[in-house]
Amino acid sequence: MKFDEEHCNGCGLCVSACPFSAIELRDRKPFLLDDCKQCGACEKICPEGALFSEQKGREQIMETIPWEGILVFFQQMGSGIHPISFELADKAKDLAQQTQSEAYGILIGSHLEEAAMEHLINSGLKAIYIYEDDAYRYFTPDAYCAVLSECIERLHPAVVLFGATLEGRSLAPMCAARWKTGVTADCTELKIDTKGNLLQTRPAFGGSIMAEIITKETRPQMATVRYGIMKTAVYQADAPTEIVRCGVTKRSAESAVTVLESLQENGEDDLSNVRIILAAGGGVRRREDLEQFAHLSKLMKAQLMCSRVLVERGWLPPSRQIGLSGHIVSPQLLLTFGISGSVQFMAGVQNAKKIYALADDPAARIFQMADVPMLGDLYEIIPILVQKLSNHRTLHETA
Amino acid sequence: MKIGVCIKQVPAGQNVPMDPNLGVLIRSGAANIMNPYDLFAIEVALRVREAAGGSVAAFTMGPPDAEQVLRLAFAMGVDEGYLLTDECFAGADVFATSFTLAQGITAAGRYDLIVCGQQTTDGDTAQVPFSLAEQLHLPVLGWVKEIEEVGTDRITVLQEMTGTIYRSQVQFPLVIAVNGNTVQPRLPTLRLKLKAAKMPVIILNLASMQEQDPQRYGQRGSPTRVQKISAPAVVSKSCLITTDAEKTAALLAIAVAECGSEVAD
Repeated sequence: MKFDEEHCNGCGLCVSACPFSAIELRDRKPFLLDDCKQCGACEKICPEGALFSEQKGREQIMETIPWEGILVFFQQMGSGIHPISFELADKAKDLAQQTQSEAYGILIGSHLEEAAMEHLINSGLKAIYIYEDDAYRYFTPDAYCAVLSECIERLHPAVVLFGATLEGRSLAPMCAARWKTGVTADCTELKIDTKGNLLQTRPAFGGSIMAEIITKETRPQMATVRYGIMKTAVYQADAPTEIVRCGVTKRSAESAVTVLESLQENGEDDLSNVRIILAAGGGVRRREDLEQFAHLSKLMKAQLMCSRVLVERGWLPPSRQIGLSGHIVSPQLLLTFGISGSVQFMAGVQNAKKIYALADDPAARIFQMADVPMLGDLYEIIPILVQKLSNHRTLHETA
Repeated sequence: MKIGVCIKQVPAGQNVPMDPNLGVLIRSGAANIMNPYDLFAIEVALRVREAAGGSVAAFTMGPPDAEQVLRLAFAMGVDEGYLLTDECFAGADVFATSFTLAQGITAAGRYDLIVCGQQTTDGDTAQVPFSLAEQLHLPVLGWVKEIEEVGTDRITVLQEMTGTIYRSQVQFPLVIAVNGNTVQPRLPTLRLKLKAAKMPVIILNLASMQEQDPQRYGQRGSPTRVQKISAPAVVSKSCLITTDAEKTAALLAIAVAECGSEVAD
């Protein structure tokens, strides 16, 4: 590192930012000790640009400090924690064991409740770094990215995992861009090879096939995972997780975004309590035919959803889409009409209790996975079904 | 106000041919359309122009025939079109795509607002707007369902977040990604369609960019690589029921009634 005395304001931020304790303040000026690994943490935090590396670029850093361990982004939700975070913690523990390294967590938020802290302590991770500040009450991607980057500099993890919530899917690509590294969205499977490469599997190419993706040379390797997708063994914590409370610098608490208010009552559709879902797909021939589906779903007291192709056609809004890139649903009963069942669609319904699939192509992929696969013409069947359900309903109402 | 909108040509339908050796889509030959989410983005960009004045420029990266989506953008009312095309741009992942877009946008000028569709129907990652914003050093608002107000120096939007909706405000310049749940894109008018055919498309290739190193673009500039592709193997769970419509409907009605009656219990 080089130091430009003229620009230094003596603030000392570099001292606390240095992960190797290689900077001392002497006469209110930083003094670089031999422990300096040229990691550039001081350069990033210096508000005056008075510290800068002789060799720029992440490539050099990779050579000097090893990237080890797995870091999980814990997402606060209300005063608690989003359950995906614990699914990832189990996965991280598993990956860490295979690479003889440690698994860590980071939580950015404010006013976390006691019960949530208990969960963190029992997460089975080595340590969780907590950055709590009023500034993190709302998710603002720039501020969160700044904090996460500080934590990455400190820990040098080989892998960073994010829940593929709307927040996680914002933060991961931003943070990956900052570190000039790769990020794989919506992984359905994560493994690690002997060289420490994270093998990230996700549906690709329109969702018809699975691709295994690696991050070639850059670190950390980043991936997002949808909630309820990855089957992980429930890990029994053998030692309590160390809770490390971290200081928040003014710089990392600043955001260009002002969240004026959070309108809690009508957020992203909550489908967790929906018992029956009727899903329409490419087998629907005309847009106006969806009126029949709307009517049918009302009779069934079902939620009408669709596969991606109807969103592509502009017939239903993206908020109705089931699939890895849409909603992951878990109804008691799922009825699919005219859906072929791409990999990306099926990933969104694997938690459905029972699937009845109606399609007119005997080779439809969905038939292999449905509990009750039915060959038939939906245009023939819907009117009969409407009649049966209407009769059933009148019967109940008169009784 | 200078508004940019990022759009993409995607294969129509779900069965896209793919090069099994390179692990990338074979884009030529297949019927292509504008990514449906980008129609929402164009609509939002045009509405901002109508509210605040200025012009809208569309940016797309792709092979030469991706010009087609710029023509559609013109027909919807977009003022300028930039086609980012070069052999070395091909095979890009999220990071390299966003890098190239950032380079192209910077080469074209300074924009107050960049509007993106939240995701594409082929890559389907929803990550590019965030990576792009970071590489342009701009703030970003994702999952935008509605523009509430366009002020002289700032914009107020509604964002869908987990379990809530944020009303957020940011000063220009910034990037927004729209999810299209509430926006209805306009249809091209005949007058604009005729005009669109004659409007110039500005080509940006490697030579147009500030970063001249071809290693930073396309597959070589991509941190990730597809190393294996597999068709998921599945074994049929149950026997296919092939009966008449009446019996099929009856089975469905029973399933619904049984599930419904459990609620009452």
